[in-house]
Amino acid sequence: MPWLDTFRISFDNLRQAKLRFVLTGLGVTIAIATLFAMLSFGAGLRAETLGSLRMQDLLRSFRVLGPEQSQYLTRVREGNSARPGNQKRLPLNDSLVERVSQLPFVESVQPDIRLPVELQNGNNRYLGWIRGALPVLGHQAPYSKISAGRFLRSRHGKEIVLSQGVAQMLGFKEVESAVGKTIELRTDQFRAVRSEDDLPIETITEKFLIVGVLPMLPASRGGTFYGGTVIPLDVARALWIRNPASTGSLTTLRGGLETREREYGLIEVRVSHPGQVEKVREVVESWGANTFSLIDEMDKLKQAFLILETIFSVLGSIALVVASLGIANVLIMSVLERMQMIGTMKAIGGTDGDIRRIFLFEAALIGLAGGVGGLIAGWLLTRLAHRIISSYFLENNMTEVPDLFAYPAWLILGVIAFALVFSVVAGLLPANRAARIDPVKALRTA
Amino acid sequence: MAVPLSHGTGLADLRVEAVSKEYRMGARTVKALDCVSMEVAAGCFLGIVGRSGSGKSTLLNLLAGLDRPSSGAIWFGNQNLSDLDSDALARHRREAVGIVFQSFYLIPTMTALQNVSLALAFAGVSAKPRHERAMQLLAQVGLADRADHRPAELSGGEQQRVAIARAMANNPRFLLADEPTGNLDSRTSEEIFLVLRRLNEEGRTVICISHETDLISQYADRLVVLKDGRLVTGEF
Repeated sequence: MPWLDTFRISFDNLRQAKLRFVLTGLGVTIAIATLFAMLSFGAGLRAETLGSLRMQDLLRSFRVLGPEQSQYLTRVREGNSARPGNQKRLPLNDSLVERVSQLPFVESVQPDIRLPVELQNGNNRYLGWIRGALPVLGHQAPYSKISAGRFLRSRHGKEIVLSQGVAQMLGFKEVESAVGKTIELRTDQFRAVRSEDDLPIETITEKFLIVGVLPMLPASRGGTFYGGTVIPLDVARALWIRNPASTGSLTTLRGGLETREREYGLIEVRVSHPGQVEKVREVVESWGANTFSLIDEMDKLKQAFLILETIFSVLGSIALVVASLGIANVLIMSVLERMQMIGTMKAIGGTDGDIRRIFLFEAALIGLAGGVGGLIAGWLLTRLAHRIISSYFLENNMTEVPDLFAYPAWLILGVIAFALVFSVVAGLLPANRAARIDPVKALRTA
Repeated sequence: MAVPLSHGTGLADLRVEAVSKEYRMGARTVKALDCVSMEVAAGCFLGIVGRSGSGKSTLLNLLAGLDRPSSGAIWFGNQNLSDLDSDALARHRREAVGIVFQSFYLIPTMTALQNVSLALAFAGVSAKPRHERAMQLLAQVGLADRADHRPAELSGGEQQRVAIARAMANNPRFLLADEPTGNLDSRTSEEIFLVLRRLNEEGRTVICISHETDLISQYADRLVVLKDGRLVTGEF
């Protein structure tokens, strides 16, 4: 029998029992909606995470670690012969920064400088941390997403870019109004003392011009409350060198404040292409440094997502198995009810295969209808979830809300195929039973 | 010994050789047919009569390929039905024979036209010629104007005529009718027999089972009697 005719007969059969078909299909719809929503969340999470890593250019950068993080890394990598920790202690100082900068493919080298400061605008104050940044960072997230003004243009100017949160704390309700204003920056600095009674620290005040404001971004997009507030790297370094935060203890002063070279906690190195990260790392590690790159963690990250998606698939499949049992049950009932039809079809020349196909088509149609319904329901469900998440982000002044649900083509087609396969498998038993029915008995019992 | 039935063309188109059929009913074995042999010539109208339980329907089911004999052979031309697998038997039912039942067995959810078309669909006939052929068949049984009616909207006689049209769909050489008038009144029964007779005159071999001996004897070329699963020629 032509496929189209088989389809028509199956469709008509389902139409004869609309309520049963709808209820059975609804079971598949719910199962597929659950599966789709969960896998969409998994895919969205993966896309958002990997996307944000790419967006922040973290895949073409690596970190040269200071002593504390090196120790931690060495412990973590114990027993990992592929990349053992470096036991040598390479000081992370300006010499190293200069040396790394000279390497081929290196685009920027940025020591991590975090400076405790007090910012003041009139009576409004912000007490917290700011960072030093190179102008080149303006091309990368989160700095590329500046919402008012511009990013830093020099390494030496008295300029500052505020995060939206800091700008609001400083009394700038509208971020645009902050640009062009001057604020005061206060920070502690060591000083030479003449007598034992003198304090070795003084607070200095400097004026900085606000050149830009960064929007509130979710953490996955590189946003932090204070992390966006930056001043030019060289200015930050000059203040940091004389700041207690750079030494940790006053006793380090005894060696001589002016001559001692400060060490950074870590240095971030960015290369021109992700493929060159390893080459540059190898050189830096050969000097005795420990480095860390997210590329090391990518496999683990992908593995974690795979596990997550597998768990989601299994959970969703359980619902689909239950729905499939419903299909099998309904079709078995249908076979019993349609003995006369089956017997008649066989009597007028229908083969076992024709009869089997009619029931398999019915199962497939239920699966397809349930699958499409499930896709729509799942999509609505995830959009609703996204709206709820969005409202949370927007309430917290985030201007950019990550979409934690993704709908890649493989998911849409895969879920439909999944529904079809499960339904057809569920239909195999009743379809085979119908195909094997003895036509004489079928007609006699009708 | 085979019962020769040499009306029509004179060539034996169907041979039944020592066919027996046994059923198991729990621990008991029931012999529905006991060593039945006969030959049916092409173009013959054969009536098979007998009391209820004599094995008439069992014989017809075996001829139709709906069932298999416990022993013996049924030859349609050079083809022994016992050699055919399930699909080949389905092809036999589709192409060589058309079957008409006492209870019509029309599919209630389909119209008269769809019921007739279904037999053509199983034969793989495409939509347009199928529709034309089904309409032509319905016209031949006088039901062209009832093509879009479902069985429940047709009288018993009309339903049986649709069933005959369906049986004729693939232009089979044999028309097998199992008590085709069993559910009909006498006037309608005569109409149905007239249709069968006409089909026989067009060259088809008709094998018709009936318990209405008087009626069938008016239309059949020859009658055979089944009694307790055995063929008894000339006994009415």
